[in-house]
Amino acid sequence: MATVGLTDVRKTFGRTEVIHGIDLEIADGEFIVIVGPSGCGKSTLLRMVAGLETVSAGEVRIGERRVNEVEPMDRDIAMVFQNYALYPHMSVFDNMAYGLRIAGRPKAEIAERVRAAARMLQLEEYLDRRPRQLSGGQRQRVAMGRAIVRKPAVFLFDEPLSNLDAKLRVQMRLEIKALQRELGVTALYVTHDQVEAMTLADRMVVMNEGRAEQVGAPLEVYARPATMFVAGFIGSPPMNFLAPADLNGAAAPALLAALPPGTAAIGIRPEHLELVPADRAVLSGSARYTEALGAETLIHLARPEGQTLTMRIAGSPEGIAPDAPLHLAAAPATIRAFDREGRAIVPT
Amino acid sequence: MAGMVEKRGLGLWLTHLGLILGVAVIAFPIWLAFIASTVSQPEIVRPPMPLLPGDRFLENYRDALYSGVNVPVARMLFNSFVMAMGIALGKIAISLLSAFAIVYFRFPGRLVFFWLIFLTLMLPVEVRIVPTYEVAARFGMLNSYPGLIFPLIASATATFLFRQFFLTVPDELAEAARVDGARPMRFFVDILLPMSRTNIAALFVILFIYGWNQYLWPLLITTEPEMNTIVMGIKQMFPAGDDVADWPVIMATSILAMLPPVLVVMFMQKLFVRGLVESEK
Repeated sequence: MATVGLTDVRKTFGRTEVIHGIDLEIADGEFIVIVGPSGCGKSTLLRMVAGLETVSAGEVRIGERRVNEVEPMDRDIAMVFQNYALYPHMSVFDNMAYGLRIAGRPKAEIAERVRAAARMLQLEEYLDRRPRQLSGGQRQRVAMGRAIVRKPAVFLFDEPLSNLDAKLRVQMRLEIKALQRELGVTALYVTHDQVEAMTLADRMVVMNEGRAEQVGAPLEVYARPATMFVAGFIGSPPMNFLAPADLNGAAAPALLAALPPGTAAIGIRPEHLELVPADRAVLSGSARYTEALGAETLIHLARPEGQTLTMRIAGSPEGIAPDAPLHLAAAPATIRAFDREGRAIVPT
Repeated sequence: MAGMVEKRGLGLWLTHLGLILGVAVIAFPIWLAFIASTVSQPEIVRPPMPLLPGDRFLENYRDALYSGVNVPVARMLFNSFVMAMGIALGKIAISLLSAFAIVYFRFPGRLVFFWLIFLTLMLPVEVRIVPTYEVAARFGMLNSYPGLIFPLIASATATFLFRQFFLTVPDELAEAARVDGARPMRFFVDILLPMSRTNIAALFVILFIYGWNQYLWPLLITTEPEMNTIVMGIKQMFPAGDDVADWPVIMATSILAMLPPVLVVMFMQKLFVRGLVESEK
């Protein structure tokens, strides 16, 4: 149990700086998810906290102690790797016990702690098996067990679910969350999957090109993205972006007048678009494809100006003919405005 | 499947006939050597040579093992065994460590060292035999086990093989061990060594036979019959000038010289094949 603090943390490989100064304060017991596209530096950041990469500049603190120069084993952390990194020649028991053995714990204590972790993860009957005799989900559990037995202050997860199939991923996601709650341990979790980020995080960090674009609670980030990048990255299908000039429906002038000055782009979430009569519309387009998902339907529209829009409506797409002109509007409160640099303009 | 069905009948017999003929051609000299080691000297010298075992098997082998021609064959077998084991184990130990250093540590001149090791591939014993002899002689290693073993221990091939294997071991494994608190040598002993054991076994078989079959180097460096290895010792048994060759004993020695490599291959075959075809991950 510990806080984690990052102060202006930077990483350079040779002359290229890949992490441009990250500040982050993580409270004790908090679940932080770092999310971003591949190559945004999220794994590098995690590995700096783990001590597997050196910190080029700035400071990493775990429990108020500066750990920049501390070896991973002395940082009081445990890490779960993407490919599990289980020792192939050791049994499940030995895999989990290895760290404790090196630490020179008494045999009885090791056995007890490994069995407790195995019970928690439903691995008791597999303790004598080798990793290759286990399924992907079980290997994942062993990797988590190896982290748990060490009773670390901080859990680090490096895309732990990306090697699992979709169904198992959902199940393990819930298990990870439950486990973290139960142990009350601080967790730092890296993923490129925004669904994992939304569901697991107490707070999420959206990273892009070595910068933290936004830090906040998942729903906060979803509702009020700080930049166009965050708005486009979080949410599936992504937010629709338009220039103010694209709003040309009958009701557009009133909406345009309400936009804050300096608006260079506006963003509307697919679920905020609704079908309205022509006289109340701010936008129009024609339905190109509809994807009926059962509970909801995604409609991809083509606009005369050439862009495409996505809207999400509840239920099935009855009554929407292909290529029929559709008139759309969105409540002014749901429309996000962005300036020329792509930063959100917060109405004052 | 169709091909297999056709093979029944004449095709099958012809295939087997071909195989049996091949085996016979290869095995016949060995058979002759075995026959020659079970008969008496006059029987060998008088043509035609016998093709069936004689009755002097025990006597000939006892003569060879306990008295030999220059030195008892038991002594030469022991020398060869020490040399082959020393070379095989020494090569494995050194190349494991150097591959570990090259793959897992970033130190100045790492590439230079790698290429230096790699270069020695181009310099087999025969090419550097004169300078190597000079060095061994100045160290006073003539007629000694270290002299037989050390110059042959450095091995680029084995280093290269382990390097390639270590490169296939995922980096996360080393990182997980680091997080678990394993220092580098602990990681090497606890994780890398057990993971390499099939490779080690395969290499041991190859290197043991390599060491056992060394001919030129022992011929140079051992002048006392007590230090002769068996492969070169056979040559030393040939008579010089007008002496009479004791062919039954020489042949018994040849057969004895063949046995240890055969035994090593037989007992390590399972591990050996596994080491060649599968890498455990």
